[in-house]
Amino acid sequence: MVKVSLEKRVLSKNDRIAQKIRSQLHMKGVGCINLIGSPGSGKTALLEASLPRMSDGLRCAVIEGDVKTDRDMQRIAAVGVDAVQIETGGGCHLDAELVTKGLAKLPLGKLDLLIIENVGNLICPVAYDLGEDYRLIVVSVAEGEDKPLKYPSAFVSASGIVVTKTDLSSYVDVEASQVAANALSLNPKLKVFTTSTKTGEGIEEFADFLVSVGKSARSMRK
Amino acid sequence: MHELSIATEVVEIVTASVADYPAAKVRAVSLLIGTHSGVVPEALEFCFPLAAEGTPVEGAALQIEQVPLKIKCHNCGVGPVAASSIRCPECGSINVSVETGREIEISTIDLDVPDEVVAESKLASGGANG
Repeated sequence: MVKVSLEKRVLSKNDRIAQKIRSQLHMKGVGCINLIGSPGSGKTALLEASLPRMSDGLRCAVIEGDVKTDRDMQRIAAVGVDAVQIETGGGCHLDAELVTKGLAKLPLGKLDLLIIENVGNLICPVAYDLGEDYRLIVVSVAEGEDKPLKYPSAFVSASGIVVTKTDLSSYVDVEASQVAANALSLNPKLKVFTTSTKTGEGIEEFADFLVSVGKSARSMRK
Repeated sequence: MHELSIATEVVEIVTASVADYPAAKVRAVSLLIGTHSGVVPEALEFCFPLAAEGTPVEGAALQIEQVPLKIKCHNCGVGPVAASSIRCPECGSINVSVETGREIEISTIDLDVPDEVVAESKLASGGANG
């Protein structure tokens, strides 16, 4: 018997493609955000509410990942933002290769910001780098305050969280601050947004963040 | 259930690395899986034989070593040290980097190789131990 040392990252192919996407986007001055969250956490609603409020002529596009249908792409297009749908046909996450296919359909030279809305899932998308600058976890108060503790990988790997549906707090007995505190206990560096698309709470602030990501990428354009 | 994608990727990498030695038989594949990698070892064990079916990896055992979260603190300099969050357990600083715990890696593979192949190949330099 021979033991052969491989020491190879299993997702090295994905990571290589993701790195290529990252350099391509940086060259063209496009900031990139990967939105990860459970099905129904409010990822698309958050974008519907915040994208139209982005100021400063920022040019944005969205890649929508879903197992089936182009409903989310239609919702984003309805608020006047370019969107591309990727149907995984059963796959539980987006990978860098799928994103490359989506990118081919977008006018990268005319963009400042790319948002990738991952397939609704708080586990599987975590392992796949998509070439993003920011990874945001979207979690609603209705999911319970303990979700960060039960699904720590997502929160450990993220740069920020968006707690959504705060208008439901009194019905589900969960405060956004409890969700945020649990997430911060795992990863104190997380940037925290607290939002409700019903009351408009925090939407302006989130839209401002999107603008800042796009602007800073634009200023680095080569 | 991205463990099936991971298992398929493992099988592809191992298949590619033994492609030059058709006489070799893959007996075991050893993985390092971080506790914060998002991979569930049991799910991976379930998927692995399915992914290996009909490939040179079919029948190989899967050995998973779990790697705990360890951080290095850039404030007090401690580490790599085991931690339950991305905060220094000594000084409380958040100026830390994750050193281990996010691995999804193939560490080694065990091969049954005819002696003459070992002698001629570079496999021997990869750490033959009988």
